[in-house]
Amino acid sequence: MTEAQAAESLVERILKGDQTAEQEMVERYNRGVLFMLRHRSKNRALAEDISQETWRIVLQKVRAGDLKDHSKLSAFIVQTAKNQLLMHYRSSHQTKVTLDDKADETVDMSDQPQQVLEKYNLAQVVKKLVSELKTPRDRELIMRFYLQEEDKQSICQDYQLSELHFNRVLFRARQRFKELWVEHIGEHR
Amino acid sequence: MDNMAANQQIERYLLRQMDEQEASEFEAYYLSNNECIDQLEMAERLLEGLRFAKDSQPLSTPIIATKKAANDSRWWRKGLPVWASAAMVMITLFPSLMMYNELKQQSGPSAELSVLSLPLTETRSADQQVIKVPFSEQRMILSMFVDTELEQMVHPSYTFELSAINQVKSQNANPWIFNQLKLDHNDMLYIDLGKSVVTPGSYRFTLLGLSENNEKREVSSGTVTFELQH
Repeated sequence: MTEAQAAESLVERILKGDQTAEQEMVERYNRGVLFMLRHRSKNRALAEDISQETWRIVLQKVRAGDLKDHSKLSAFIVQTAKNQLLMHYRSSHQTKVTLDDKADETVDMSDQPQQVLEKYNLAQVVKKLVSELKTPRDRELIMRFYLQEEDKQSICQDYQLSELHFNRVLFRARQRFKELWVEHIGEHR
Repeated sequence: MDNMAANQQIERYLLRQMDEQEASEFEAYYLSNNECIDQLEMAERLLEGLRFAKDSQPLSTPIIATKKAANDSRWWRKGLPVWASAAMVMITLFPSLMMYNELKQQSGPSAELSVLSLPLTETRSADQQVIKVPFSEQRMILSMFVDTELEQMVHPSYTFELSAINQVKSQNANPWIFNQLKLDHNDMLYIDLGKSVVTPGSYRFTLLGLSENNEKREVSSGTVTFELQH
């Protein structure tokens, strides 16, 4: 079943009042919603808060039949999540923050001990990955692309690489990183 | 989009090299695709690890200075003169649809945004000051941070007005008026035109302070010109 077919089926069942379909919808898309919100906000706790509000609105609108093209459910969820995040930022900018307000602010967990340890582990795995890369060129390529955020085309030009080759280097690095990560961190995550 | 195509999009997405529409389409694609989310999470972790490793200890390969870094002369890299940091309007122009870039902006200036400062002190003395904003897009979206360490910035709230000068009536005919603006915890005013689009041309801006009994007093005003540079 394609994504469009699955979406259509879910929406139709929700419109018929099938509550298990609502549960299935949240389960199907929530991981992606959390990832996109975390990516956009850089704040794990905020992403979780916004996702709750997103689901409340998505459910309300789908039940009410506001989604005209049922196959576009995922795009609809993305747009709703973006709107909620935008509203959050607008309200936080237009309102004077008092001490009481600050107490209610969500806290980014990135400085918590668990996250610091995770970063340390990450750094170890990454160092091993970098040392394993076969050629200095591959190491430089990874650094320039990820850290210097240089354009893929200009890197390819400098090393006289095809884009296909470049993508292979990135893909291999990611796959090897995954192996090292599992090896190093194992079941701790 | 097949898996191969998605794999090629992952880094561009994580490095925020997509425009808003492309990013949204990619998000709609991966929303229910666990395999793609796995790859995204792994790539994100790799990116984070590289950054952390670079900050904590030099990696075995030195980072090469690049043209991009060497040429980057934007204001936040240069440092600001004291007078400018004490009184200015920072104008941030978002090159395309607002959302994606606005969120990036939350975490600090990004190399992809055009930011310029508009010193309020000069504006007061030279009312007709014109600042030209070179920009490669035909339409611009505007946000402003008003740094308010001015003596007269002691009002409970502020109003900011921006109106087009000498433009066709149908375009931006009505001024943008932002009422009830309050200083944030950094003593800055944040002005966000939302999804309104600013077309190139000259605009007059006025910053008014409102007293407790709603009496208005002009704090600063001037002219700003948004000019395209292709």
